[in-house]
Amino acid sequence: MNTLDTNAGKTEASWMHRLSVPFALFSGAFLLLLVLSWFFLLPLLTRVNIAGEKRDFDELSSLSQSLKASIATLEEERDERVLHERSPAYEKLLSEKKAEKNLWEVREWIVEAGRTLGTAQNPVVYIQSLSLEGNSLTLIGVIRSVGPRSMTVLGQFTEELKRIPAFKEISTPRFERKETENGDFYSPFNFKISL
Amino acid sequence: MNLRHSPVAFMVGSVTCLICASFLLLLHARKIRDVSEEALPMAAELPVLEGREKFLKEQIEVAELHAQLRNGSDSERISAFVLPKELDIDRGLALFDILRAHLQRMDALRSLSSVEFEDSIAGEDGITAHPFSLEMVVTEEGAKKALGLFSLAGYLTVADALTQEEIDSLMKRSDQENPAGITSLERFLGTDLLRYVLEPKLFEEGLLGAYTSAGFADALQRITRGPSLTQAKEVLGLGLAQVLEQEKLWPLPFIKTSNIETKQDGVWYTISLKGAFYTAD
Repeated sequence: MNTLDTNAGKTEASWMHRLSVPFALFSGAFLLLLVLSWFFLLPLLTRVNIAGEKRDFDELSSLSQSLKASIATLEEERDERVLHERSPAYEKLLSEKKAEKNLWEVREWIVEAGRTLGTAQNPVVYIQSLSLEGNSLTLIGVIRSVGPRSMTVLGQFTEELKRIPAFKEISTPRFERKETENGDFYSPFNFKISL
Repeated sequence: MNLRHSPVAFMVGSVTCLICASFLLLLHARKIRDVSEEALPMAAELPVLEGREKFLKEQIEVAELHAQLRNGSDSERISAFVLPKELDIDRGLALFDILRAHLQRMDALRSLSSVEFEDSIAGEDGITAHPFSLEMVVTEEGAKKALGLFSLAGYLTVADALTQEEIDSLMKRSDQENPAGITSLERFLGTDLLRYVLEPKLFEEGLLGAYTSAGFADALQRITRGPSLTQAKEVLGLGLAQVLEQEKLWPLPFIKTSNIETKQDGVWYTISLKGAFYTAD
């Protein structure tokens, strides 16, 4: 039995001994060929001819990005020239002025938001005061002509205001229902809105 | 020398070489894929980009030449009327007088207070603000007219009344349809706003002469009938443009509003307004 084990072990060892060197030579040569291909052959085969000049992928990419950046800069410069930039002071004031919101346009948005809650004959949102300072809007008014539902309608009006794209932040109003001497219900509101 | 271990060492070394070779094969495949998917299309795009760069440089030269001719007159008008070195109170008050008369003709004015001026505020950039306040009681139409006029005060050209999105839309359309027509677009955008409001068709047709496609005509119509120019036409309409021209009040002095409050009482709106005229060194 010991003799058999020793013979099997000797066979395996001689098999590996015979194969290891050729295998090592093959894998080493294969790796070397691939390395040479990566540094010398592949760059030659992957260069593209642009107007008589050969460029590789990295050069193409760099040139393309540089041209796109140059085009973006030139387009900006062209637009400025076409728009006749005038004195810096004037352009500064003009851009500040254009950033301001037109109060009447803002008012129209609010009226439109209120219109969805009532009818043309019976508007329920009554704007008492609207003031605009910079980008801060103060809206004061009442919800009326809806009976005891005035607080619910005020909640709906708040949601409608939040849907106006130009309104960044809207303060939550105090929800209260009051009664006039005639027994009519109304809910006052005071919104602080950031544009 | 221990010959038992050296075959194992060779085998380990071989496997390591094969792993590195597989990795390099993968890099080869990626490189070849990059060339076919990205480098070839990039190569096709480069001549187009180079052509566009060259064309833009030519457009800039032409626009520079035109700008030298136009900027001179615009700059003079700005420094004389819009943003002068010293506050021209007469000109400012004349504007309010014309507004009062116009609103009265419209039956849109109940009252207009006197204009109260406050102390000037000098800025660091050579711009000085001259604050004022006033109060008026007007109808809804009167409010739109008055506030609209203040929003136009200081504008000179059609481009000043347009939003950046509207201008970009026209520029993009011009590039797509007829890049050589840029001088016509430049001329349209640089048209005096009052002159445009008085004769809009004349200037629009002048521009359409350079861009004959229906697509550009539609784009231009969307802008000329859009909120910016429609508001300018409404504000300066009903004879106000003609009055401003006759009284030599155009271009208007630059005004910015800082605080506007409106209160409604039936059909009348009380508008309390704080704003400022501006001067610059």
